[in-house]
Amino acid sequence: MTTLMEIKDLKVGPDNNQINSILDNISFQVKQGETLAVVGESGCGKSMTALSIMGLLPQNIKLSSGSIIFDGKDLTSFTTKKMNQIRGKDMAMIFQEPLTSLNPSFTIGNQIAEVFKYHTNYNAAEIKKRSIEVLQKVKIPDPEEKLKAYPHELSGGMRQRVMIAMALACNPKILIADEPTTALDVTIQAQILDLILELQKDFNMSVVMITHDLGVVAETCQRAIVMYAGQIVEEGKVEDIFEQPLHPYTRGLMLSAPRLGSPKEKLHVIDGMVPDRENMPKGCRFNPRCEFATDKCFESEPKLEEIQEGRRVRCWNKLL
Amino acid sequence: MEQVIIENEKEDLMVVQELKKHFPIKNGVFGKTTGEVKAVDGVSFTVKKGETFSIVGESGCGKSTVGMSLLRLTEPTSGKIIFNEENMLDKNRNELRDLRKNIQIIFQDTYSSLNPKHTIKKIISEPLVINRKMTNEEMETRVLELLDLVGLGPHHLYRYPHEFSGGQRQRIGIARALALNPQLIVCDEPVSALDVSIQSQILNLLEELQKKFNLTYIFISHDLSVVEHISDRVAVMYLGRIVEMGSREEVFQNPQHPYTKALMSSVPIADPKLKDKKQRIILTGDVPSPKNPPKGCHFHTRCPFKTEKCAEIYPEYKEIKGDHKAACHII
Amino acid sequence: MMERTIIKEVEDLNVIKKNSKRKSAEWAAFRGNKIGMIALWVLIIVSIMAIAAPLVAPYDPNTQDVINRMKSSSSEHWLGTDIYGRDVLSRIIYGARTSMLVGVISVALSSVIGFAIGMIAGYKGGKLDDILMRVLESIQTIPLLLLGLMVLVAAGSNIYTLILVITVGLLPSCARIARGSTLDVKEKEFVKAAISMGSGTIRILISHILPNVLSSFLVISALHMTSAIMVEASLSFLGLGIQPPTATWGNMIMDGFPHVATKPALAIYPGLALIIVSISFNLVGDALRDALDPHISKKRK
Repeated sequence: MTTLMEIKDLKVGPDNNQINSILDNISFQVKQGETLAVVGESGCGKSMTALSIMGLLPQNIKLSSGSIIFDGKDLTSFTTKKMNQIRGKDMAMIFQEPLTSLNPSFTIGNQIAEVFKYHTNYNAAEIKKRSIEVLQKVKIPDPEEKLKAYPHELSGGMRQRVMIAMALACNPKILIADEPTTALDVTIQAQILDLILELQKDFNMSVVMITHDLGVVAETCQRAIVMYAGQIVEEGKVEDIFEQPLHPYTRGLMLSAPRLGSPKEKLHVIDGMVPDRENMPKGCRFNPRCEFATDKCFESEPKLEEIQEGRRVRCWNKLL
Repeated sequence: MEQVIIENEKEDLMVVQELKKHFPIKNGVFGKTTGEVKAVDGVSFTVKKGETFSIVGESGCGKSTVGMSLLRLTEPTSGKIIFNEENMLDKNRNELRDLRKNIQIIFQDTYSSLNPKHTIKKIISEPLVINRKMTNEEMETRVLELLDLVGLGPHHLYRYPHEFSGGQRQRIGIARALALNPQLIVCDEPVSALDVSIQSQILNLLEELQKKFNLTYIFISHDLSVVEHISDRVAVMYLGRIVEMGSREEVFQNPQHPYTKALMSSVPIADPKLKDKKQRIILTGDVPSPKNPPKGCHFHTRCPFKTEKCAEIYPEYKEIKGDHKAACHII
Repeated sequence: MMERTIIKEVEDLNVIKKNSKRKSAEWAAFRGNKIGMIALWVLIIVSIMAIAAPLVAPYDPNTQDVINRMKSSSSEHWLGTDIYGRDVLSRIIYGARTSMLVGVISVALSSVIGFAIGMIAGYKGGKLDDILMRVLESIQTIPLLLLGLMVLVAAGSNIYTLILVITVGLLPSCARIARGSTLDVKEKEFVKAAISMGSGTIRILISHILPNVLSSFLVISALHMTSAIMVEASLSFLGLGIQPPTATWGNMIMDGFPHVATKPALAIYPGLALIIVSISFNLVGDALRDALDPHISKKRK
């Protein structure tokens, strides 16, 4: 598989201080046509990674170093205007809350048409035809009617479909899905995940699935990156990671989530909580919560090591 | 056989009969009632002493309304809630206040469940101030004891809720609920807003406390894996009614209602090896609005197994095994 | 491991120390607002002058000195004298007394009563809410100045009636704001938790709702001071408010008005005092709102 996007040493932080970065040396690749999971709990930096790729970082947060190579070009050097030509066309993003990501005062049709107006030269009739097509693709019943609907008239699942339709309108090469099903009910989640996977095959695009739900990772992704406190702690094929997690955090996450069909007496617990950025522990960032921590872990920070092709882990005491 | 006898020996703590809560839809300047949302439409169940009874369902199924009704935080339209052999719906305000001490509630949103202007000490001691005559010292001892029970240190006493993480705030909420030694705690999605690693801490804490104080939980959640983990008995709700109910083993290993089956098959399992083996029932369409639920069986619009009868008549409960029952025509 | 736990505890204690200061984060935010602070100092100085008027004012405000009438500024009379030869500066200082007194009393009454009504209406809801709010809305349809005119003409001018009118006029907006905040807080789960613990209505209103509507109470009170002082001045200017010879800024402007072409200073000085105080109250109100607004303070964090 060829590499579609390569992220190298990405460092992101508040623009006034360089010490407490939100993302610390994030490097990974997205291959053509794969589904890559970025897993972690709130505050681990997974959403920030997505926003950096899209060039949508909040105002007071800056990308301080690193590069994002997409299609042979470095996105970090792009001007806003140039980014705008790529966003929505070559790369697209869907968000967790489809209600706030759609503008409440415009119809669905208006908002889909907007995408076409930016990136194509279609005339009004063509835009309408294409809009109906994309809505059909995301399996929205009677799409012609739905074009006239306002976001609040649709259910959460339908709105997420509309978001996906807009994201896919211009056949992007990469889709970044930031917790796309977290706000939805399970039965609807199943529909949406199925839809994303199906469309991925149709369009042969890469998907970066940002999620906290290991179930979603196991069922939809081929490779996964586990993040903790702004760093990548583990990377590998999904089967490998689930078969044998190498980082104590990954292992803890897997054991602490109750799993349907295999009830346990007592759940595994990761003590304590995610450190905040101002009080990062010295040494390994996971050390206060780690059951395998040794003195070394409190003294120096482990590097993200590649131990096999495509399998990386950041730990002094890898669980081999 | 022996187990069955032990089950039967457990006393009933709460019996809910035909509970209904209909919200009027008001329109216009004069607030004319133009319709009803049948949020809860005839729900009956029994909760036994010391068990965890879970109510599971998707958003809008009425599970939270049931929880609120049990404490009369919203006034039920009709039905009976018999707690310790007294009907809560017959009580006047003072009698209710006495009864309520035995039923407490834990909420999902840890931000809005703690008053932002109060210190932790004030929050946890509030139930004591209202209900017990205690000296300041006794009160402080009790608050520290409660904090210790939920795993928080004494140095937190004079902090404000916003200084805590979500998991810690939930612990504070639990401490407050325990203050009056209640018999029953209604847990309304207590871990849904928390991260996985924190969620397991809280679930374990709830289980520990249950053992220690012989608490009874009514656990309301949309998360089937959490429900399977924590429950003794489970009720599945769809559009204001219980569609299936029974012991955890029965409902999870041997689900009968097509909705329960679909719900379970929709949960993504964190095991890539099972990915291809799993039989998935993917439901089409959305949950209908409770403003006008479909005629007949509420689920027939999305049911893959529907028959003509389903669109006409709401099915009766059918007993499957023990107290496992489901409301469906095709079982 | 033990050692680490101890370190953790010590760190925790340090955090607590830091946090004990955090309670005054709102005050720190207010202090950070330069304009707000200047305005606050202006108001403090004006208040002190008003309270200590007999000590501060160089002359008796009502002593007439016909020989020295209509004098310009001089070292004896800093702001000159009016048509009866009374010292303008002294009259402005005594005028501050009247304006502030009327303002503070009417705003305090209207805010306290208004918030009580609003909180009860909002919390209880139903018929009571409907009735209370319709009554207050009907008051609000009459502009405050017009209401004052009508009542004072009908009932005669005195300071009590004036305070009463301003209080009643300001009531509805207080009640509405309190009701809005209450509706918001009432739905919060900590209120439900309090009910399930056995709290009665009064306890919930005082212990849970009040602390959470207090910030809007402060803000609206500061902003209402402007309205109260302006209305008092306007009514006095029209000769319906405080009656001469008691000095108020309103009736000083009225006294100076006929001579505005020949001696504009007579109307300008009290007018200036009025403007400075009004703007100051407005600025303090704005600064308070910014400092207490939870959304803004979140950003600050």
